[in-house]
Amino acid sequence: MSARAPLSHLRRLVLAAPLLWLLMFFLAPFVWVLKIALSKSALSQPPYEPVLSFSDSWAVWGEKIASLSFETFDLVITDDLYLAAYLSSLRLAAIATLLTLLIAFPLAYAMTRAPKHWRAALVMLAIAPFWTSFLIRIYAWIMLLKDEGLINKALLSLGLIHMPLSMFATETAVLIGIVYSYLPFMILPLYSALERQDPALLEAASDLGATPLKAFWRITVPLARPGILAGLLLVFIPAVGEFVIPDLLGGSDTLMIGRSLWSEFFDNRDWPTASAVAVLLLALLLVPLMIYERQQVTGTQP
Amino acid sequence: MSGAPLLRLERISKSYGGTPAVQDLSLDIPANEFFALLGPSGCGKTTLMRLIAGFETPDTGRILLDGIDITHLPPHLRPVNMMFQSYALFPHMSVEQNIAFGLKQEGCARQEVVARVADMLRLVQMADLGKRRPDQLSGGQRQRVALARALIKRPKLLLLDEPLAALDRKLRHDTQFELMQAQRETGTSFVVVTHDQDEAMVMAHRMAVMRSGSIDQIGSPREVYEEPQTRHVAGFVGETNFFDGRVMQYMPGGVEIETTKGLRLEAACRHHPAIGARVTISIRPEHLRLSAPGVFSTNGGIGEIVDHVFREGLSSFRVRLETGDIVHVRQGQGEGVHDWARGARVFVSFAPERARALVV
Repeated sequence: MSARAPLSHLRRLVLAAPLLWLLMFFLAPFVWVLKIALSKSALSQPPYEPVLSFSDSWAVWGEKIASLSFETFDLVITDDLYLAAYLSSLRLAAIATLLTLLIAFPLAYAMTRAPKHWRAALVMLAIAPFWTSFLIRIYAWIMLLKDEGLINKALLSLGLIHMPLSMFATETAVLIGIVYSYLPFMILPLYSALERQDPALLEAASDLGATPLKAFWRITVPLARPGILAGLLLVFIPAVGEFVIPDLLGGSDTLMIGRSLWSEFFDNRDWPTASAVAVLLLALLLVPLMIYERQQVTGTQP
Repeated sequence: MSGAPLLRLERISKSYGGTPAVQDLSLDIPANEFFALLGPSGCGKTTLMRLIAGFETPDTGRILLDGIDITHLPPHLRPVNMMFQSYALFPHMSVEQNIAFGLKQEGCARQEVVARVADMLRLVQMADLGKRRPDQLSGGQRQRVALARALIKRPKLLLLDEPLAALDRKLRHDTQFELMQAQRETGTSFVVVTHDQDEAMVMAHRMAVMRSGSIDQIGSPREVYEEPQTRHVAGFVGETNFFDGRVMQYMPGGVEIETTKGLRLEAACRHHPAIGARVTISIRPEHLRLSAPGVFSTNGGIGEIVDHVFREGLSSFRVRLETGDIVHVRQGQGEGVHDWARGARVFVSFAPERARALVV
């Protein structure tokens, strides 16, 4: 847009809507959580003693902020358990995200190669699991993975194994759960990036002497980069904070930050510490988001 | 042309789901030739090109390049390159990277790649635009990058799929001459696929006029224009007027026919139709003469000027004959050419040796 006409009322309204949404449902709750994180734990209802109050005057706020203690943050940062939980979450989420990419890419690629009239149906199939409750699907995995579950029964009766494989309540089960649950979030952006590619580009590469494999690496993959990045983020970010899957499929030794957060809130009733964990998690996840943002900018700019 | 042709197609057939796209087609193309495959859409010219490039495999027949059977060779192993109609430039690579792509696949030494890319950029007059991305180029510049990319491996044969279709009229005109120059400078045989007879006429040394999967006629543009073998060729290449009729009698070097509208016309004929056989006379607009209706008027008919258009130094007339036929007449300026007004009564005639009676 070269000519910058003043924004009409309608356009201002349209632009304001998402901002308002973010303000109400992201920024305001976040400020609230931050406020709790800076409070002191207490045996009361709710279980914290606010340090900052929204009813205080501005002058009081200034004073209080100057004398704030960040002891909950200190605790979370210095305690090895939290550090271990953060690292373990990042590691599990990273492994799961890469596995998801490895499984989703061939699927999405095959979908774009299918006859045109099949593609809409294939996209529907890719998101079909969403028609069933997420919880029910995770419970179904318990039935599959348990020592006396379907997979072990099948393998035993086929004589492939003599002892049940212990899959349930392990990190492997958590990885399976995450990969399974988030696969559609990887398939869809990959599919849309791959489907946009002009088939003539691959023909041109092949015409210029590239083997099919080389053409794939030099043409298909680089052009799918926006889709790959979007898919990685869409899987990685929620996977880091995932709580339900490690809680249901993981063992007692499966350390993930979402679980730690939950137990701080509900088992220990230590809301300030739990809030600090949440705030730090958010800060942590801003890093990949900012990398993505940079990539987008350099990707569109020559 | 000495010895074996560069490219030989031997009785190629290809059909898609039972619908034949190319039927029992044979064609030889020598080295260093600018060849055009001309035909309406759906005539099989694109399929033929994709068969040569290796994107399709013929159902029957053989493709020989320099005497070597390449019928079943995949595209990346064929010493043939192609310029795509959409240009198919790699959007994530710079102009230089696009052009270098083919050489890099060969494992060419880095220094040689750089030198040959620079040569190519000079050939297509893009020397200072090598760092740009395809989306920063104009249509004409993209076309040149596509040409450079397809030529850098010094293919023996370059296929060009509607190379000018995406350009505007003015640019198309200039680009035609650039393509001809590139062909001369590289000595590569160019095979251009086009539906535009003008392009083929301007650029090609020889052309093949295709219809429904086979070739109607092969020849130089002049031969095809002046001696069309079929009604389809006469109608597709250049403008013409048709008179359908039956052979009445043989004349020296031709036949006399009576048209369905009752005109008696004489025309040269290269075939040997029987008396009474159905033929079509094709006569180009520039070979029709206009004169005032008179007593000695022969080989034509009387009509009335319906339209008169002056364009590019030529006068074009549409004349409705008394028989109801509409004919198109084109005259140059000067030497005793009368400027007929609309509504004027004229006698339209032609010299029999200028017209061709074609067997239908």
